[in-house]
Amino acid sequence: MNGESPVVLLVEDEPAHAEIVRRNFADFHPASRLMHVADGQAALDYLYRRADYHDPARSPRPTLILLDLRLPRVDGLEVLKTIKTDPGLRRIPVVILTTSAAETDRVRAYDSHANSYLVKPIDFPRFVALLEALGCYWLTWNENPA
Amino acid sequence: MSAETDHRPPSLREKAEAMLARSHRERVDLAPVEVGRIIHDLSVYQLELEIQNEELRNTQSQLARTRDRYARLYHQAPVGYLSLDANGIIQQANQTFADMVGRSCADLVGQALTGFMAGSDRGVFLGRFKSFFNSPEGKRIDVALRGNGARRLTVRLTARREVDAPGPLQPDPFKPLLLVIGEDITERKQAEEELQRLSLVAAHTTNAVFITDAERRIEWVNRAFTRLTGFDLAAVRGKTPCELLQGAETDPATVTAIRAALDAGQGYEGEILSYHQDGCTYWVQLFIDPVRDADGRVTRFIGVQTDITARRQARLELQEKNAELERFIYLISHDLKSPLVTIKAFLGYLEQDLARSDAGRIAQDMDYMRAAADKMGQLLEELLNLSRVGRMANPPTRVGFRELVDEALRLTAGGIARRGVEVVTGEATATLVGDRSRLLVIWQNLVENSVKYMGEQASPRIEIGVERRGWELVFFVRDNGMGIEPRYQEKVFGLFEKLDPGSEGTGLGLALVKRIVELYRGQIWLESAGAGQGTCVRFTLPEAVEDRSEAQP
Repeated sequence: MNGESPVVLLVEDEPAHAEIVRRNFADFHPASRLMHVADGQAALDYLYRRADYHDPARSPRPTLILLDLRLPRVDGLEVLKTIKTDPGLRRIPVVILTTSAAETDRVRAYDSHANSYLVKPIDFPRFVALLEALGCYWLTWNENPA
Repeated sequence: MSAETDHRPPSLREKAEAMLARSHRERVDLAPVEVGRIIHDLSVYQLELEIQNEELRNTQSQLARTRDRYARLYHQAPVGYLSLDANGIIQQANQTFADMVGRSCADLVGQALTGFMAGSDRGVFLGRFKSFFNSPEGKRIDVALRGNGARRLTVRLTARREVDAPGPLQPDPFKPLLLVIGEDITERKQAEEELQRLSLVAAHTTNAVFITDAERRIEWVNRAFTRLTGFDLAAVRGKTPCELLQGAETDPATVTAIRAALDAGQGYEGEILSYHQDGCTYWVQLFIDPVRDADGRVTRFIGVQTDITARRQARLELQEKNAELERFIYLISHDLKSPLVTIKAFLGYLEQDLARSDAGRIAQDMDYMRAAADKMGQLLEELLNLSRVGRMANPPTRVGFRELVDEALRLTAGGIARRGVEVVTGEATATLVGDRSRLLVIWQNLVENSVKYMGEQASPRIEIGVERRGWELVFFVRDNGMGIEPRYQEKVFGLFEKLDPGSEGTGLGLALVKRIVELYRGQIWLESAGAGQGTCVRFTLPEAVEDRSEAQP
C-alpha cells in the first residue's frame, strides 16, 4: 500500500446489509473509504465514470470490490464479467458477498474469475468475524499489482 | 421235352392232359422220320411259346410297376383325394387325406365326409353339396375338419366329376362319383386372417401410416395419414414424404439424420416438425422401418407418425414450469434469508447499543429490523397469492370490463389520491368470463405499479382501456411515470425482479399478473420508450373474453 487510504466499492442493493458492512468497516478498518452503489448499473457507471460518477473525485479507483450477485437492472454476474474482461479493470480483486450458497452461483462466479466467494452468515457474530477478516486479508495482507 | 418244361405249373399240364383225354382223339402211328419232324416242329413251338410267355410276364410286371407308381402318385399327392358318391359317402381316399383327418385309408371308405367336419360347417356343406356334386366346375368349399387330436384344419375342396370309373365298392360302373381335391389351407388361412387383421390395424389406427417403395415414393397411406396431413392417397402417390411434409421450420439436421439412416438401410425413430397441407405445423413422433426381401434387399419403407404436438407442448410447458420452480426455490431461499441476516445483525447491534445507551443507534437498529420483518411478511403474503393463482379457482362468472376497472380503482384509491394521479378510462368495453377475483388482481396490480413508479412526474396520469387489434381484444394500462428501458422490459415479469432497488415491492406483482394472464392463454408485454417516458402494459385474455366477434374490426 502506498499510504493512500484503500477504497472499497460495495455493490449491494439491500440497504440494511450495506449498513452492516459500513458499520464493520468503520469499526475495524477506519482507514478505508467505503463507496456504496445499490445496483449493477450504478457499479458499472462508477467504474467507467459515467452518468452520476463522471467526476473522478466521486469515483476513486477501488482497491477492492465487494459484489452482491442478485442485483436490480444489471445482475452481479454481468458486472463481474464486465470487470474481468476489461484490461483496465480486471486486476481489481472482486469478492462476491452474497446470501446465496448455491453451487451454480459459486461455479459461475469462479468461472468468471471472481477472486473470492463469501456467503453472508445468518449468525451475527460470524458475520462480524467474516467482515473483520475480509478487510484484514484484502486490505492489509493482499498485494495488488500496481 | 427239355428240363425247363418242369417249371410250368403242374396244374396247367394236368389240365392239358385232362383236356386231351376228354377229346377222344385217335392215336396215330407215325413213321420214325415223321416222328422226328414232328418233334422238331414241337420243339420250335415250345420255344416260341416260352418266348411269348416271357414277354407276357414282362408285360405283366411292367403293368404292376405302372399300377404301383400311379398308386404312389395317388396316395402321396400333396393334396387329399376323395371319391364321393352322390350322398357324400367316401368311396375312396388317398393317404394324404387320411393323414389330414388322422385315419387310415381303409377306415375312411364308407364314411360320410360330413362326419369329419365341425358342426357348423356340416349344414353349410350339405346345403351346397348337391350343386357341387352335379357341376363342380369353378366351385370351391372351405370347410373346417377335425384332424388329429384337437387340431382343426381348414380344407379347401374343389372337385371334378369322375364318370365310368368303378371303385372297389362300386359295382355299378355307371354310378357317377365326384373326385374331390382337398387342400389343407390352414396356414394360408391363418396368414390371410393375420394379414386381414394387420391391414385393419393399419387402416383404422389413429397413427398415420405410409408405405413407400425403395425409392421412398409413397405407395399407400391410411385414413389417419389423411386426417393428420390433409393429403389423401391420390394426392401423395408417387411423391416422397420428405417433399410433402417438411418445410422451412423443419430441423435440417433431423432431415439429414433420417436420410442417412434410410440410405444405410436402417430404421429411424425421432421427433420432427411436419407441415399440414394447409401450411399449419405440428410435431410427430416418426418411426420408419425398412422392409426387406428374402435376399435382404430393401424393397419398401413403412412409416408410422403419431401426432405429439400436444404432448410436446405439455412437456415444454412442464420443463418451463420446472425451471421456474427451481428458480423460485432458489430465489425464495435468497429473499427470505436476506431479511433474516438483517434482523440477526441488527439484533446484535441492538444489544451493543443498549449497553452503550446509544439512543440514535437503537432507533436505527430497530428501524432496520422492522423493515426486514415487514419485508418477510409481505413476501410470504405475496407468495401465498401467487400459489393461490394456480390452485384456488372460483367458478367463472360474467363480469364487465368497466366493473373490474372500477373496483380496481376503488382498491387502489388511497395511493392514487396520495400521489394525485388523474385516471382516465376509455369508452370501449368488453365482457369477460372468468374468476372475478383473479381478473381483478390484474388491474389492481397494474394500477398499483403505475402509481408506485410514477417517479418525478408533476402531472401523473393513468389511462386504462381496451382496443381491437385484428381479431383480438388488447387491454392496456398506460402511465406517464418513470418508464423502463427496453433492455429491462422482459426482466420485469420474472419472479422477484425489481428494477428500482429503493422501491418497497417484493418483485412478485408483475409475475403474479403474468401468471393470471397466462391462465387465460393470454400474452402480456410492455411498451416504453425508455426511462422517463412512461410505461404501457398491454395484455390479452383470449379465454376470458366472452365474445370474440366483438374483437372483429
